Amino acid sequence: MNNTLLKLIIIQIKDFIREPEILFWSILFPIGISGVLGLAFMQKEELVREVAFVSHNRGSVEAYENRLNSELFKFDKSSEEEALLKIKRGEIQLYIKEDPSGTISYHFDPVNAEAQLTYLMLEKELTKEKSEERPTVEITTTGNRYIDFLIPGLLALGIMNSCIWGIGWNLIDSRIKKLLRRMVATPMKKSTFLTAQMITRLMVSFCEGLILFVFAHLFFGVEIQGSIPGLILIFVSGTFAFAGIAILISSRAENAQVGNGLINAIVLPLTIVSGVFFSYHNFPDWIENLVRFLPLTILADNIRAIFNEGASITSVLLPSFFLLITGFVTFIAGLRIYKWY
Amino acid sequence: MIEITGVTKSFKSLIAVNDLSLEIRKGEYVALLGPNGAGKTTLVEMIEGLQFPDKGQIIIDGKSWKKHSSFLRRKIGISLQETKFMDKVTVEETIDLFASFYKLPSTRIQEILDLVNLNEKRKSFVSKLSGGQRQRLALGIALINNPAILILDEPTTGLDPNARREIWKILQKLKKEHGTTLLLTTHYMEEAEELCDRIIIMFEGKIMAEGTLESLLKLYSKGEIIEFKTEKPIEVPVEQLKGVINIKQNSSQTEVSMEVENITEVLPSLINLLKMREIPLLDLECRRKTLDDLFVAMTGRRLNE
Repeated sequence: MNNTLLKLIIIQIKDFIREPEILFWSILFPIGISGVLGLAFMQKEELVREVAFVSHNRGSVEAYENRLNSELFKFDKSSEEEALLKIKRGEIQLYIKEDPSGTISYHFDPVNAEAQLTYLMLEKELTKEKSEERPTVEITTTGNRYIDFLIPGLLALGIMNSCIWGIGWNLIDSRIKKLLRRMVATPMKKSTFLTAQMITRLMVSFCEGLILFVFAHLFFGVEIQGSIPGLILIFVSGTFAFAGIAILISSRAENAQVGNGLINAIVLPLTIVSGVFFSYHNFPDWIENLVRFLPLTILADNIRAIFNEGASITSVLLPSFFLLITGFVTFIAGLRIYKWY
Repeated sequence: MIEITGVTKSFKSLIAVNDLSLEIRKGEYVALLGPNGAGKTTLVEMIEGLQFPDKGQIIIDGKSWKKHSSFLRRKIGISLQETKFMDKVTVEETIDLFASFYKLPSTRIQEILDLVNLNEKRKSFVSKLSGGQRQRLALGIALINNPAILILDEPTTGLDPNARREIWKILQKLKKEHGTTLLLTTHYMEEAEELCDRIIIMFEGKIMAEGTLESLLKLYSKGEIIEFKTEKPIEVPVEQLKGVINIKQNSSQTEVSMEVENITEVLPSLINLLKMREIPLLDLECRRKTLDDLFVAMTGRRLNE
């Protein structure tokens, strides 16, 4: 029994590490992403906002530029058509139009946050009546930077991908190769086989996560501020949840296209909406309420809370329980309809 | 050893196996011969306990799959059609993994490697094996638990004659040394002829004929075959030669296939006749009737279609 379990785990790990592409996608890729995104958002220089200026009045662009006397803005004298085109292309967010009488109006998309910001900044600069300047303090301490937001998200994403591709795709592929039915046609217990899959994934995701964390720690100084046992608990629960989901996904698919499509149909939306790369709080309320209960969201939010807010083990008990239930239900449902032969 | 009674299995509208009964005795080598789609694989997979009959029953060594599946799993060894093992795992590791499923010690690896002659490839990844080596690995895994009953689904399909012969050698050795019971499916009649005591011809879910090769050929059709091609139309009444049972020729009368009682009697008079009429021969083939001829006569299809 134990011998079989052990051999299955060892074989799966060997099969995994001998495939160089898999190593690339599961280890180098997340490190690359965190490196690139982390750096991109850390060295955020004061960016120069480009604004199109539509006016037929001689010299007024220069006048405004002088009035602003700011390195924050760059004015481009354009026709209105050009300005609209630039907005469409995303080159600028806003343009200013001055009518012959010299009054200006701002033109921008009101739901575009970046455009709003530009508008407010321009307004502030142009109507500078030296209202008393209140001091601003930059927050760049550990736990508040974008990289601190990103790393826990990537860890959660890693667990999901590792389980869904590692278990789900592996099982579908074994079914396509008829390996699954060949293995099940021995005295090997199905439960041993699935347990081996799960333990393998726990070990693999743990290593992947550790490597990513060590990188983020050394390179960006990302820290785990909260409970380590809590982190382990949510990590194990998350793995269990996605292992169950993976088994459900893989329960019927019999060819590569269906399998691939099915996995992508689950993985892609979760990756996008679950607050891995950016917060989901900007979504409309009803979506936000939905997203909050997705397994990847729960996992990412709680890893993040432990990393950045110093959350304790008690605060992750309930979410862990929820993830375990998710894993259990999908696992049982998957087994019910599983196509072994 | 294996008793099958009144087994039926259908998929949607297709009846794959139709009220089929069959008995296989201990130590017997049986070939299940038939074209693709005859229902061989479905039948074999029901015997292997991988599919279940809609009707009828299958008893192996006095036990049924429903009640004694774990006993039967240990009793039989199987090789499925086109199984692929994990690519980046070596031959040795693959055998070791399967040995652990049967709780066998690691010493079994060496025995299997010797048995299927894969010693040199023990450290190779499965992905680097040739077709023949892969099939031998699959056979080795089928033999891992020293099964009393071996069931092989098309063990040599797609292999070249040498690789095929190697598999036959292993199976013949098993018969001699272990008295294994074997059921194999194939669409190569040489394979059935070479290996098996009994041949079962399956077509459209039913057994069409069974017996030893000799008895099948005798029972279902007599005679031998002479086939020849000529440069110009023969225009001679070859069918009137003594000993000719049946004759087929193409419309231009340049290709003839004769079914005769005895080649040695008919051939000299045929040659004489052609010589007298000065008709040059392009091609001449004399042979015993084969299962394929028999099969074509019964169904109008060839075995390996």
